[in-house]
Amino acid sequence: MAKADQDGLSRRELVRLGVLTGVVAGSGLTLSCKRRGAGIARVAAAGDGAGGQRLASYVQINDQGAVRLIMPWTEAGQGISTGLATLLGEELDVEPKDITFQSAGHGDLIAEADKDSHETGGGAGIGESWGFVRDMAIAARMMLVSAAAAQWGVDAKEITVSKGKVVHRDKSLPYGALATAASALPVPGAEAIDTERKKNEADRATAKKSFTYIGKDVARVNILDKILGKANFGVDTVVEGMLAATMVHSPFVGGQASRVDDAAAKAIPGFRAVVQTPYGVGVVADTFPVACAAARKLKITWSNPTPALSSALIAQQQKALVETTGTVAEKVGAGAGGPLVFHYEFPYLPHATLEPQNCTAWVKPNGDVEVWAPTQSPGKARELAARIAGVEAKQVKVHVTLVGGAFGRRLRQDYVGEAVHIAKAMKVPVKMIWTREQDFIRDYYRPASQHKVELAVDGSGKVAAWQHRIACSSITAWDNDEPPKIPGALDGVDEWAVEGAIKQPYLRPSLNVEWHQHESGVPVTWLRGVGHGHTGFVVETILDELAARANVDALTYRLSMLEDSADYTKALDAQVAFHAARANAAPAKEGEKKEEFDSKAFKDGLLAKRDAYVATLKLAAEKGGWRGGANGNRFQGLAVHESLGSTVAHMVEIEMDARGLRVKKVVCAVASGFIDNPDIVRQSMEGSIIQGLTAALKQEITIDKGAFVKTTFLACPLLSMAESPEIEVHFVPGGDEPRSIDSGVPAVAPALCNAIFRANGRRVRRLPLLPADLVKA
Amino acid sequence: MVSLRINGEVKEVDVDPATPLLWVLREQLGLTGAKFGCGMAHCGACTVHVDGIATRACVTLLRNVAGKDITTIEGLAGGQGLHPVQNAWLECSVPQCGYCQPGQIMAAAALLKAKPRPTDDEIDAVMAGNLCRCGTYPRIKKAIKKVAAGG
Repeated sequence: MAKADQDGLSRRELVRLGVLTGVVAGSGLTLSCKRRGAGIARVAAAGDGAGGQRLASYVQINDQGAVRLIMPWTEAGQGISTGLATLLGEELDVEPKDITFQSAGHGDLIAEADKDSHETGGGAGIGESWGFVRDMAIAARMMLVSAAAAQWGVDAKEITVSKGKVVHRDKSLPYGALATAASALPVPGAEAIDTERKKNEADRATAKKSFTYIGKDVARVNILDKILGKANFGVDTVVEGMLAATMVHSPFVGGQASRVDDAAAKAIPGFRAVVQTPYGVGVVADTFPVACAAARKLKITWSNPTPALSSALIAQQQKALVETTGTVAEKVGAGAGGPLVFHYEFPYLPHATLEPQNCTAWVKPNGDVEVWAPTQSPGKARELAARIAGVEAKQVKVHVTLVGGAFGRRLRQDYVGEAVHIAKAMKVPVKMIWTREQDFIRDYYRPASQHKVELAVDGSGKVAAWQHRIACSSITAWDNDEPPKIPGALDGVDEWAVEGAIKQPYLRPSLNVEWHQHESGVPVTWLRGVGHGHTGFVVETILDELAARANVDALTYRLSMLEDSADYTKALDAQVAFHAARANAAPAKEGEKKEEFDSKAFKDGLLAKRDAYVATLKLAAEKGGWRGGANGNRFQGLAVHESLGSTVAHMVEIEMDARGLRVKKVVCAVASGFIDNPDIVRQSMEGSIIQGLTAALKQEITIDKGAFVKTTFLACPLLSMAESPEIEVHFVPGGDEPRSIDSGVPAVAPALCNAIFRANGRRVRRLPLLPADLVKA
Repeated sequence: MVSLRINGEVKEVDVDPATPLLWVLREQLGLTGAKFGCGMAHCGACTVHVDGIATRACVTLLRNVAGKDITTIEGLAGGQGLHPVQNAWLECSVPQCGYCQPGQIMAAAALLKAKPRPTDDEIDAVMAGNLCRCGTYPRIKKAIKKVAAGG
């Protein structure tokens, strides 16, 4: 997953498409816009794909008036389909819930020339595509209005749209009746669309007319299907003549199957075959339960390359690393540490999506390949499938299904690779689903990490110097879909390991952040929150501790570290200068022109982050009734963190007594720019808070004697309803553009542990919490 | 051949009677609303009703449900559009990814049928077996209480 590249949006261009293969075929109006980057020519006429190029984002109104939005994004519950349907519905005046959303997949609707893999991650979908979805909607509306004007012989300026109809005085026509005629008209250029948008905005302002759908709690697209049990996820894929399969993976880190004895499996009626793949052993049968029964009967000899590997050993090795100098990630001022020392330890975390990894694949006799997968990266799935099937990428079509929870797991395509290996061997379509045990032992986990912070405070208790060393695996080094193999050293610093420790808006006049890559062989990848999940915990619990040491209120203390001053400006400028020097010294990316680092934009970003910290902290404290840490028999904790461009503060309230810990309430303040659909943001925050609490209270993946220990929801549980707090979500107003709505996880665990300190005087240095952390100090 | 009553209709299936009900529903009958989450009754995604009782279909063998009344999410509303529990789910905007929701709804419907006015503790206790990774619990609870309060 690349860090979001926003600048392509300014180069947007709308095109009209006529007949397309597959899902967009039919009469009516279809507009398209490429997602990012430049270089794709404008489509000149209906049906002419300008040299066969096909683009990734579509708005279609068919001759029945049905509105469909096709986008490169995967809907995994994060609400991208609803967020974009809300924008489209607003501009077209169509109920968002009546808009159909479809993931474009890869290889059918996607341009051959388009190298983008159409990854969905980091909650970036809305920020990256809201502009051109609105553009497509405005253009479609302009074309419908023009078509009606021509038909009625009236001035387009006198025509309005309302509830899916074009209206002129007492006459009206539904969109469906005009769509085909509209598609014959020229597509408005970017300038005309901008003018139209500004005119609409001015009209709204003069009429003091608020939005119809934007800013309202519009119901989720697909909600009825999800409630009726009709929503189709990856596991629900049906292909005529398909067989069922499951996988058996090495129980050992990095293990390989040296011998597979399937004699007992063969005795089971309905068993078809064992297919050995570089990822593990595939078992094929007529039905999934037979495949699972056969898998249990296999006698597999696995290698155990690291029999001494254990969680304790990994912690010990990482702990030794943070005692030594690492690769510098951010350096400000003298870059020295200080006498106050803090150690932290975080475990590997699983994604534990409720829908286990699965994929349906079909390698056809002519070499064409079709893949149906709940994937966040159809482009990577396509590449991998082509490589394994031994065909050209253009022979592969990837269909993206609804996804039963993603959280980053589905950015990896290993399950696609396995399904294609099996389907290739079987020569018929195969639906491969993992069992829960396999899902736990073959995850790509959130990296385990050790942190050491050495700091000094000044006379008023504020940070004077801060050195932060982190040791963990590199997500970037593991960013491939080959069978898991311990990677080599990464050149430089992995931003995913240090994010949240660097580019912080808190005043730290002398700062040094260093990283050590440590590879144990346990595969890692992005998990909701990514590096911020551990770095944010360290920063926000230490600040809380320093506030307590200085005998200053935790909110007041944080605000003092964000206050404008000569020292603040000096430290900020040093921070900007460090990143400018580093960026300017780095070689240009292959095939890209090197651009000068924009110091002003970077500094403005940090200042905006500071403002967002202040605003969210104050709002969470105000709405949550912050009383400095205690409220009757309840204890309070605060924390704030920015990730993915949005800032979220949480105020957690707990009860803690002889019966244990109960998280009673979380009040959350979000600064994520322009809020298109508040209820989708609220849902994302509720989910993030529960996921953050799950990580703090429940989850860890452990290794013993080279093997994965936890393989079930009993051993590695999720939070349950009884343990879930009351949640309130408040928004910091402001911002013209929507930003990530998936920034809620990082501040949860530190806010919780700051509350625990108020209750029992203990500082939590290791997650998940241990019973000893809940005893009075 | 095993004869089953599913959503009010009699169905004949020709599979091993030791097959878990979940896979009979999903693979033999095309009823994919009940989901596979763990295969060991830990997550509740496969919850259906057997004679009105919430049952984990992933560990319930076909031979043990022959002749019993089975209701799945597809038949919950009995052809009436939305069951009151589904309606509350809609009004409270419960689902995120939606994968666990058929199981959650079936568990909640069985609870409310047995106990139309459950206490918070009773809701927590019964729903503890239905996991949700997206964290929709607060809304599930709100929806259950909405039904209990008469919609």
